[in-house]
Amino acid sequence: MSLDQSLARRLAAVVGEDGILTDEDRLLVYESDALTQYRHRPSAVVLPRTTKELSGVLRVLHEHGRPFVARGSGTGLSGGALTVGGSIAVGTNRMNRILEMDVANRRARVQAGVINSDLTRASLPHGLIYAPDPSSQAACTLGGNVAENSGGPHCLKYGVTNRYVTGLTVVLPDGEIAELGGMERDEDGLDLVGLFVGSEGCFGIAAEIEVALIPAAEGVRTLLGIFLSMEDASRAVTDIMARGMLPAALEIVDSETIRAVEASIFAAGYPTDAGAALVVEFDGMDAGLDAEVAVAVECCERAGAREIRTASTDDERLALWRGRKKAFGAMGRLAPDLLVQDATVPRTKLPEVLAKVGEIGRRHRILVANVFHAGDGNLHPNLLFDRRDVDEMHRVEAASKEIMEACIQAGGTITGEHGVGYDKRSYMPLVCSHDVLEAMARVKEVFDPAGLSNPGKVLPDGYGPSPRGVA
Amino acid sequence: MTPTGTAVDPVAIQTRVREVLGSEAGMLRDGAVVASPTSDDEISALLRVANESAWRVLPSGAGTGRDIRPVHASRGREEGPGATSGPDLMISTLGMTELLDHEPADLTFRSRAGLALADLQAGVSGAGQWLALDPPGGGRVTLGGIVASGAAGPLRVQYGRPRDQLLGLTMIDGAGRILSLGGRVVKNVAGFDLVRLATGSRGALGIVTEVTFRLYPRPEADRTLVWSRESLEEAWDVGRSLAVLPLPLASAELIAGTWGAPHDDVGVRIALRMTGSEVSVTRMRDVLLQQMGLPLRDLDGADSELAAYTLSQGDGEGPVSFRLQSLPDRGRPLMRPLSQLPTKRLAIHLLQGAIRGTIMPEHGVEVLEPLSKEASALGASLRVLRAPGSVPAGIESTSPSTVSQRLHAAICRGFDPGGVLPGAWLEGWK
Repeated sequence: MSLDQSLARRLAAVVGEDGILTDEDRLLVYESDALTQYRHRPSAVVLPRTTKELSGVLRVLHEHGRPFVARGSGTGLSGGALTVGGSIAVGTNRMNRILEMDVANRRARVQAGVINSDLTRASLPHGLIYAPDPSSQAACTLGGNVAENSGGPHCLKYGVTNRYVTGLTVVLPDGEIAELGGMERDEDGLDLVGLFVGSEGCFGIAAEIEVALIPAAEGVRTLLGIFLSMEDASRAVTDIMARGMLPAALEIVDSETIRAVEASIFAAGYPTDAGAALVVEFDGMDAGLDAEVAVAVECCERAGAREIRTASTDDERLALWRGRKKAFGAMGRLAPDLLVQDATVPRTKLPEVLAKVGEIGRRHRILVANVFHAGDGNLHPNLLFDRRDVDEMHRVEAASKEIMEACIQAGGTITGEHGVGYDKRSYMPLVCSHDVLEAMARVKEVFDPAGLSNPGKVLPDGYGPSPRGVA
Repeated sequence: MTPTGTAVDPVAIQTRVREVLGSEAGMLRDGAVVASPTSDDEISALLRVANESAWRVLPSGAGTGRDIRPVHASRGREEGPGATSGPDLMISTLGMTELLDHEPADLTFRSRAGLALADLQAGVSGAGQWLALDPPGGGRVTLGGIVASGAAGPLRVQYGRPRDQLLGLTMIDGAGRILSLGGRVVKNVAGFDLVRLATGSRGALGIVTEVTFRLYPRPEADRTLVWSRESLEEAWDVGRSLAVLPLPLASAELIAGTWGAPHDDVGVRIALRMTGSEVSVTRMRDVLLQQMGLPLRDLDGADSELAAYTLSQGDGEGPVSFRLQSLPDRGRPLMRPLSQLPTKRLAIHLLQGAIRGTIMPEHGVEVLEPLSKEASALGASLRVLRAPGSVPAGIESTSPSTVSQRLHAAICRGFDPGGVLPGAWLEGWK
């Protein structure tokens, strides 16, 4: 659906002629996020620079009854930025300024389009960091992190995005600007900030985000354990946790993943005949770290680790992490298409669920490479396929559904950090009752009675307002 | 109270409650009926009856937060002659205290909401774990109360607030719908975050009956160091300089006054708490001692925990208590007017910018006026937590925006269409 002239003119009046993209060629890159099997080209992309412009844009769209989808860097893995139903993409990449760095209060205020790792880079000279570190942090935006309540390897110790967002300037779907929370305000009243974080762009668009920063740890130690099997690696993790330790990160990659990484340009020197690799990281007061590493080494040895590497310099640390950090990037070697799942199960259920995932993959003849946050039970089975092979696509869908059901049966949830988006809507009734879905729909309706903000996401069909006034 | 303004006869309420819960249920107390159901279905049934009869319902746990104003429902209803301002029916969670599930290897537990914090801690300590929360009200507070108030204590610096540790809950909303929110796992983004919305909602959205929290391993070492200074201003300067050192402190507090004694008798305490491995905590202690010299008190283990509890109960007892919020480093100008207040107890959370105080009992809420003026001038917000009567206009400086009020009202209506829950605490906002 194209943009009609009067709407295009009104939007241009708000953001300038160069703030709207309507050329087919330029729209191409916006037709999907990182979940590439779904593609919907937006009718247009609008790129505001300020909260005021964003408010003007949403007001105009609201008056025209036009649905919109916020988009940061498009790194999402659940199709949350997919512009279904003739939606207009509202990109935040030009809202990329750090507005305030308040070191004394360990607080920063940023526009939604600021890149996650840029915020930490700006904070480090002051001895501070922004803790949530999703794997896509070199590209993903704070606005996207807010939408998904993003995690990352270090959320094991430090918590997820919701813990660090202290205030929001939100533009509601009708263009009204709402100030929510704020570190200097009293915490009385409903936690609207907590509600907005993780709302996946369905309640309006966060234009400015106030976050809490934390002191950078004095010291950090990293070790890499090479195991013969995933079971052994998981046993080491269980042991480390049972010893009362609070590692900063605990990540496992399986043999498929290791082989993919080592065959790629990202080769990290992990042995290709390993069954699994475990990255363990501790941070905190430097004096206490060697003792913690010693305990972790002991746990790995007792679990049968074939080899243990420890890092004592920054470069060595980066090398140990490389195999884990480049995992997604390397998957392209194994197959043209990738379906990344995001189920989270109680940690103690990981070994049994992993075994089930393996069995499901084998039965459906689908190659599955596992990468996961072992400390919090958040697994990412990567299902590899070629979508030109229709039969394989069907088998991937079937395998995916079975994996989801196995995780729920083990007491887990359908998504630990990637969000529901477009991709997992149909699974929502597996974890939310009808009454809960209706409660969510009612809350959505409070923020977006016209149903224009990211329609067709999160809630299954039949719940929540549908866009009105769209041809 | 019925919509026509006639008071509902408590005996009639008790009769209806007994139809739902059985012939021994529902005690009469202070003009209200107090029921202690034991299941979600019973609470759901009570709320449905409450909706039919337009009762005012007040959820209740240990009662530690009950007099934090305002708590009774009057949203949109006629007040007739002889109207009382209290609830018609109090639904107590104290009949639901079971610890249902404790998975030490997962570091999670699930319990009914009436379980007291101290009892929960006793239940999980055998596995070397704890719920790393120290809310106002101490060990008596129920887990449901912690969720309803959302209130955090000093430990939030290191461990986060209740909302950061809550994984899931069951809540019966105002219409009696049983909502199972969140889950059992530490990371969960399935749908909109109604768990965060429910936390701190103080009964406006529903009655919390069951909770799932994450636990932490008991730290190897727990140490509290206390220094003292004569004036609030001096203590603030010193305290802030310590709090902003790049140390992973568990909490950083200034405390003035003790139970029953005016604060100028004992000076101002600066209390820093640190938890972690023995080696790390010792190192932090060394850094602090190097900076500050020997402390007044140097407590470890159980003594550290007890000291932290004793010092942190800044809400205290007293008819008038308040909370002041500013950015952490902007608090200095508030120290002078605070020193001039007849405070019984004052607690300043150095890294949060939050100040809680209780006034000596012989004084009324108007004694806060100078503090309120100073707060407004600085852009800080003052909120009265407890007061015997109404609070004169102009003392409280918090006022939410119209958009915020609109969102609040609409969200509450969605969960409580019949207006039976104490959503009126939001009506304290002008």
